[in-house]
Amino acid sequence: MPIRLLDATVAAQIAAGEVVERPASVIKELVENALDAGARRIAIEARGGGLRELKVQDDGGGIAAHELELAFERHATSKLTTSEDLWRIGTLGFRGEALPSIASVAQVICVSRTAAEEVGTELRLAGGEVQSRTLRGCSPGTSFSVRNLFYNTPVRREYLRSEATELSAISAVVQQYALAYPEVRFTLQLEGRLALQTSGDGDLRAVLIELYGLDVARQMLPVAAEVGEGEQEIRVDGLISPPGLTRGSRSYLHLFANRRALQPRGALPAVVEDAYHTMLMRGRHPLVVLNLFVHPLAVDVNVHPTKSEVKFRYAPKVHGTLGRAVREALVAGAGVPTWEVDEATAQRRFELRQLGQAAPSEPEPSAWGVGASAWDRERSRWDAGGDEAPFSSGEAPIPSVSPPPTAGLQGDASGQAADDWQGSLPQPRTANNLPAAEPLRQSGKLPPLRVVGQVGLTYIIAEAPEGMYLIDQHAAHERITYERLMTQFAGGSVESQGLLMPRSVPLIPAASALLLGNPERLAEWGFVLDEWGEGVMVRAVPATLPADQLPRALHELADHLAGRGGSTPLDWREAMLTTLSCHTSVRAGQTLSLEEMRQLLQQLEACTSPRTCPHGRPTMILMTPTQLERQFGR
Amino acid sequence: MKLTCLQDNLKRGLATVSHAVAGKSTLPVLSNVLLATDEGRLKLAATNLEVGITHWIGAQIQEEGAVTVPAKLLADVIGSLPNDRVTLTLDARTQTLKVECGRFTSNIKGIEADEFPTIPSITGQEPLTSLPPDVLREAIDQVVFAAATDESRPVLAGVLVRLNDTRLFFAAADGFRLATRIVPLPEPVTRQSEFIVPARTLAELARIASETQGQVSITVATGGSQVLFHTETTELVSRLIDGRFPDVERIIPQQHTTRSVLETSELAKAVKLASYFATASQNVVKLTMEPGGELGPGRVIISANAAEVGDNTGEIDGMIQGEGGQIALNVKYLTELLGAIKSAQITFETQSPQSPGVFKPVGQDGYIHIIMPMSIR
Repeated sequence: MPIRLLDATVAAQIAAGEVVERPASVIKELVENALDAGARRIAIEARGGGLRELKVQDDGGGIAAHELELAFERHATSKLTTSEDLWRIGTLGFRGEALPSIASVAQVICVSRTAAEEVGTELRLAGGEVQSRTLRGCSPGTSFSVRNLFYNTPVRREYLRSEATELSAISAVVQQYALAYPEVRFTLQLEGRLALQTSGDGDLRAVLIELYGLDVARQMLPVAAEVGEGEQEIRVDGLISPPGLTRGSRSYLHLFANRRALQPRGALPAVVEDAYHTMLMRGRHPLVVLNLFVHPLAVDVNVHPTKSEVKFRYAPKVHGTLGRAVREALVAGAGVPTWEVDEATAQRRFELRQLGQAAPSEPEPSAWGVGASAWDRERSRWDAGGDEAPFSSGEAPIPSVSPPPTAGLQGDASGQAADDWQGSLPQPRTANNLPAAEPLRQSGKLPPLRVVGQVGLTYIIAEAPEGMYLIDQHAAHERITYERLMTQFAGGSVESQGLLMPRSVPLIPAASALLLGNPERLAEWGFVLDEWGEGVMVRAVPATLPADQLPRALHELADHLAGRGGSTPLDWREAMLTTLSCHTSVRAGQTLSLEEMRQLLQQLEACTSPRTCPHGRPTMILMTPTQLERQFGR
Repeated sequence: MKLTCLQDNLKRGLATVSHAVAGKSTLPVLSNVLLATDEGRLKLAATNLEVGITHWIGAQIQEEGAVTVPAKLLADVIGSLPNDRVTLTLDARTQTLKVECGRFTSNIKGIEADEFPTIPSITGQEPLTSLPPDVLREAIDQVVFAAATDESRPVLAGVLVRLNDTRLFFAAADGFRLATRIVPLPEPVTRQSEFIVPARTLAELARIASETQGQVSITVATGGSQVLFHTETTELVSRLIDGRFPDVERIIPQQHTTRSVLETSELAKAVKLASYFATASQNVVKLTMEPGGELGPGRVIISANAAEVGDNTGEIDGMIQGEGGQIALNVKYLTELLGAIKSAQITFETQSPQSPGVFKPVGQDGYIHIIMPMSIR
């Protein structure tokens, strides 16, 4: 067969294969164009699963009439001129591939008008060929209507998933941009129903209320950090969930680099989750909206046609800054997970949102003691204004605020949202006054706790101004020993106690090999092990480890190390710390005297992250007076 | 059942058996004490199925019979009565025990004596040996605290008792320390024997021995599963721990490089002072032995250091032979050891910071206490 140049349409279709793989990719390209054009309002519509029609309308700069055809040429763009520009990209798009690619696999109607022109121009294209050009009256900005997507590539059409799936992908894309651009007003209509609407007032938390609901949005902790200058400048800002608020997948991790959405995989999400270290349960992921700002010269976005991956020039620095920022926010603001709302209430609140009604305001907390109601009001100090707070809840403070839900989430997106509400139970909540969660977060420190007693030989009941705390004695003690061990290890003084009679502990060969292969590291932690037929012979143990815990501790240690490859010093440290702290702590089922409990809580208060145990489980849950009252029907 | 006895005797008898009463048990009768007439005496018995204690007191029996009543209630009632004659009468139909003393009358509801588990008795066997109670008690007190308190290795929760020729040998160890004591016997034992007694049982025996005159005899059942300690008025029966006790003789170091002789009370004081700091970190107390020169005696420096609390150093004089050195010990073990040593002076032998420290009282043969060191940093 002779070799020849492909004709333009075929070439465009091939290119489209990379850029346009599903309706959501069209939305992505068009929304990015709109944002690059400086739009403040973007309206998106999808019908027939996005195949029948996709519409994106913006109020951006528009395309001048004489450039309109050019816009649909391959490698035509207004966003770069020289190759140097490629290294300092400030816009979302730049490849000049989007429009021709879309136009080659669909019927496109583009209406555009710049502010300087009096009338707009309508251009109709099909399969990449211009069909007609007419003058149209319209407001400034650009409007794309993409119809019958993939009409000329039946195979791709064949491979699309169900309409609902495509719609949810579209809504995910729009959500991403809504989070990255809180100052832009996004409206998303799926099959004629309003699925999402953001206010465009620039408040990220407001966007989160729309996406995940009031409770979630209220709990999110602010993150802000800034390091370096010039090309090395790195800024991080956004919101992250407190440790108690997690999800079962990573799809709630929204990371942006210079406001470009990144896929939640690779190094960056790992950095964020590592920062949650010991605060997350296994298999749980935080909700995160973080924007990384780096100098355009220090980031390469031209890695992937859909630009969902980027490369940083100063990657270690970016990762370090990100991790530190997240950790600081967490330590500063870790809250206590509250006793879960019963499912019915959560469901009801959700349904009310769906109906576009405000949820009925919560009953005011009545006096939980004089000081307490004052505390509720002030949310700052134990005794703030205690005298002025009367017992009657009549003039009780802050009216509960439930913001008017601007739009119920609907359709596929709403299904997802419903999952959020139900699937996330137990859902940690704080008291119902809107600003309530805020001051609680200001420090990770615990409120003054008064021990009431012990239940089930496992939980300590304590009272504090904001309600009743249930504290897991083992988890709490684990946290204390974890932090103490960490200090001891940092000071190089984990004492080792020699064994009078060496103790044999049977282990599987892999485990004993792993342990015996690292005698120096074990010695740092006070272990001295020797080879022994079916396992190891222990000659010395850390002084704090009770003898009866030894075999189990060694097993667990080997498991920990095996699971992680056990190669880096950090892995060792972690494995040692968690294992030792777990096995030297009081267990559930141990009777504690009042004095012991008081001591335990005092020590817990001195910890830097008192609210979770090293495995990430919560050490305490809070039941507010409101919740108690509700249970009693008061 | 109807009998009369003295309040004081009954009170002390109940106190003796009360330690075998099961604290919490699914079997209600185990929290009761058995009262039965027995050949002109009143028999009191309690058991938790591991240990059983039987005690006899003198009484005037008018009518034979037996019943069990809640141990704590009976002890409280008897303890509150005046020191006078107590009359116990059982209403067999209702199983209610009437307690009369002076102008007080109480009725205590009981459980039938048939439901009380039989405390195994060892009869028809010659005792292995018998010895004075104060000797036995001292020996037990010196070893029993070194036994393990956890159940991870059951044999270590017991005390090894070995009888051969004219020697009674006790050994207890918990993995970090070992205490052994040899008691010479006036007469050769009837049969060589070796068994492991639960440490709790021995502690109980020591308590009983402190209230007894006359000899304490030791008998082991033929099957080797039970041991009986017998005094004139009390019997203690306990199950034995099955298993092999570690070969302790091999653990005891035969050499030393430094030997210190110290005043026990001075060392105890210095250790106590150090313990306030040691307990705040990881219980480490450091002993530094410095041999004396020509000008003065040697000395031992006792120090403890807690990062968050502070530190402490103490010095005591002593006779130090050898090269000197340093050893770190768990202050808890050291304190317990010093509490068990009654002699005025103590010798302390060491080799290296990694090998065990050996303590012996001066002037009292037969007691050796070994403590494994902690690492020194």
